[in-house]
Amino acid sequence: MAANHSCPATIWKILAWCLLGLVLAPALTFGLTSSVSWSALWQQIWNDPVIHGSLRRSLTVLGWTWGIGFAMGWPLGAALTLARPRVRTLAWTWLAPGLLCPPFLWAAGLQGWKAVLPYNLHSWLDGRSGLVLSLGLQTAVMVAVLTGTLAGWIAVAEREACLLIQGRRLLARVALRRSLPAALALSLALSLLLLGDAGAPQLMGHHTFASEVHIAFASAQPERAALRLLTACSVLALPAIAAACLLASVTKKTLVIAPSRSVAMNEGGSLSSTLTLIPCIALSAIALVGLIMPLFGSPGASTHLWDALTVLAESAPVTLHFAFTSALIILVLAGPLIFVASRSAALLKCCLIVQLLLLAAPPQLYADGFRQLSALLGSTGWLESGQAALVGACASLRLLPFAVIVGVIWFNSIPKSWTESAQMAGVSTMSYARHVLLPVAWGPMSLLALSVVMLDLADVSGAVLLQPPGWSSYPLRLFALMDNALAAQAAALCFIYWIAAFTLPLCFHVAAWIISKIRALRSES
Amino acid sequence: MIAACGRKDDRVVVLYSSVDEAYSRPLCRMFTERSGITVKLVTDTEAAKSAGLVTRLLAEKEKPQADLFWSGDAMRAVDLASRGLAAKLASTDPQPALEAMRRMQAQTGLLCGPSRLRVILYHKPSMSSSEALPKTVADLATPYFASRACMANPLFGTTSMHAAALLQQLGRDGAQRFFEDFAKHGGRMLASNGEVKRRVGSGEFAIGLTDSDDVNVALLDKLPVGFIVPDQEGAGAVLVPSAVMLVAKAPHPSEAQALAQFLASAETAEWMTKGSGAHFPMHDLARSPGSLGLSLEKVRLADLDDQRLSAEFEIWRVSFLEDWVRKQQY
Repeated sequence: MAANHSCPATIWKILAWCLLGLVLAPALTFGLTSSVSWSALWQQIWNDPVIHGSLRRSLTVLGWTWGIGFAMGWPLGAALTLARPRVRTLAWTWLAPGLLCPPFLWAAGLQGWKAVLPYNLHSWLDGRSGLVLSLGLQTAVMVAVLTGTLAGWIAVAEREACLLIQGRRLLARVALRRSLPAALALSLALSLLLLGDAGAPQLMGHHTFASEVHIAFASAQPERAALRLLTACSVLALPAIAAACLLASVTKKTLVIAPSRSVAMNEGGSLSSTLTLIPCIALSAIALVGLIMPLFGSPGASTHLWDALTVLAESAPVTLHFAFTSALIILVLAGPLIFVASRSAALLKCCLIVQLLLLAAPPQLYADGFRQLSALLGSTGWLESGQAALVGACASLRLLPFAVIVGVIWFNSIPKSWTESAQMAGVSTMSYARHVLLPVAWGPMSLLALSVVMLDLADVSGAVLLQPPGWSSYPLRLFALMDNALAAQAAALCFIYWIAAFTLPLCFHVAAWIISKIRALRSES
Repeated sequence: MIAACGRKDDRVVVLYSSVDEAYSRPLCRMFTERSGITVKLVTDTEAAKSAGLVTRLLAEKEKPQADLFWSGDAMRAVDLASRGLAAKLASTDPQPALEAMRRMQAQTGLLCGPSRLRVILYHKPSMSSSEALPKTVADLATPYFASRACMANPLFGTTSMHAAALLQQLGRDGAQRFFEDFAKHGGRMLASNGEVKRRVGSGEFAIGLTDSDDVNVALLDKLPVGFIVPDQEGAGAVLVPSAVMLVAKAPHPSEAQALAQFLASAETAEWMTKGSGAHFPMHDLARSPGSLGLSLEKVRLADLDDQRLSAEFEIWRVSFLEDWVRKQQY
């Protein structure tokens, strides 16, 4: 850990709480302005059987989603850590739509299979099992991407030693063990994230607290909505705190990283690459095929596809605006938070508990909090680009825990010898960060930012409440159009969205390749 | 992230629309091409139609962003007008053919737009030719039909207006009995009219209460469905007109008037009769929209007091309907 002992511990604590305060501001504003009495909240938690039912359902869905997400995502993530860079790139590209697509699209895709499956299997694609399957598969994809990209790396020497001792089996066991803590913790956090979505439960007909909060908000009952939200937060605090403690313990373990370049697997050849890629493609394809089935054989398919492209072209600037705003906020806030939270285990735990509590709450908490904050500050006559930035801010603040978690894991994996050498040589923290950390960090951090941006774009709930007039992102347009469009039209919109989701990581990899070539040329010259 | 200074652009109008985006956005484009006025559109999701935008309008009451609110069900707009959020709009030419619509326009200052009819959709293969089809909405609450029936959430959109209509037609006790019997006999509440269309179309439910434009989409998608216009020998079918409301203290009132006239015009109504829209125009009751094969002059319509609808519904919603909805979800 890079340590600057010239600053007393108190200053780091103050800085940490200031940063957390910034993150908490919208949520606190919501809580303080919602005019909900503590007695009413207490009454609801203890006495309302409908609330008990909704929370019981939510916790059941959470448990199953966590289980499926972990069981499927962990081995896939471990396999990705061992895969060759090219295979990893391909796998990541296939899995990326899982990050970008909102849960309601996954649910819709799964339900699309009803058209071809026998009737006795339809119950699996509906109700609780349908919801759990849909959220679980999406969680698995996210866990595989985040774990495979940023955790469980194995140094070259260790890899060679494993292969010498017991061959690939030992290597696989080490990879699984290394990525277990991160996969466990991330799958719980991601399940909490997806549980806050109201679209998938409504589509599947298995209502969780998220859909209840959504309905309360939408039926112009802010007090009831506030009560529901705060009740949900009170109960979901337990799994959120558990996730935070688990994650804090994960970050203590040193995960050895190969700092210079990604470690290439030269053994195993095409079979192991295929075995890694097939589950990635299958996971992604389940929802995709279900969504686009109505397009097959539809007479107006080309027209619908062209219309969908037009919608994409119209909404692309707004979508990218939301995306880049959130990426900027993540990078600006996450960096200092990671640095500060890494100072001590207690600070890190506090950081994670606060952020995961916010993650567990539905997005309306933030969205309405922002709205209340703006009213308090007297700026309800919004300047459009400012308000548009809020949409990105709303989602990115909620997703900050992922940036912090993965950032701290990475930060703690920096070899201690580096920091000790820097201290002995009297190198300042800024110089150390700029010349040593930044070149190593830019790759994982940019991947992380891209992952969070994609999760951010998938958030529709907050955007619906905050979108400025004329600023509709593609996911919002898709959500608004899907229910009333012809089946082939909806399928075309989903297909184009999925293609766009492939394009983002491809562009990223192309950009990374270009940058690496430029660097190579510079170092040669 | 730094907010740029906002330029005051006079040739702009902000429209909040709970009319489906598939119709509202192309219409806004047409208006912009004709008039040169840019329309900034805010829509809502199907599962929270109208109600979500109403929340937003109420929150922005002192300093509205919106110039116009185009509500897919007139009840929301009438409710906002009664709370002082509406300014008077100049009437259009031609006037609506129905006297009830003309009365509503005169009393509220709103403009009536294209309408939808509340109908019963049924899955043809599930209903044998000898089997009786439901003739009234009340039939859906009977044990025979309820176990195979579905409807959308009555807190939102056109279903909420239908619930309000039932309240007015049947009285509080009668309306409550309907919903309680519907649930008791196995009727299911879904998230939206679109979901009703999908699930009846797939045969998961034999019958469902939905809108005529959803029926039209189902027919265009070649789903094996038919539809019934209910209560033709009784109280009459519920017509759900859209309504255009000029927001009080609107930032761009003259542009808003121009857009309102366009949205309530015969040309817009004609456009919305075609394609998947299939809305009934208010100035020409003989027109049969889309693939429905039905015109309003042949339909017995319910005689409702639009002014009282929303006020009565609000009270009933809090005292009964919300709890009923919550119980259906669990």
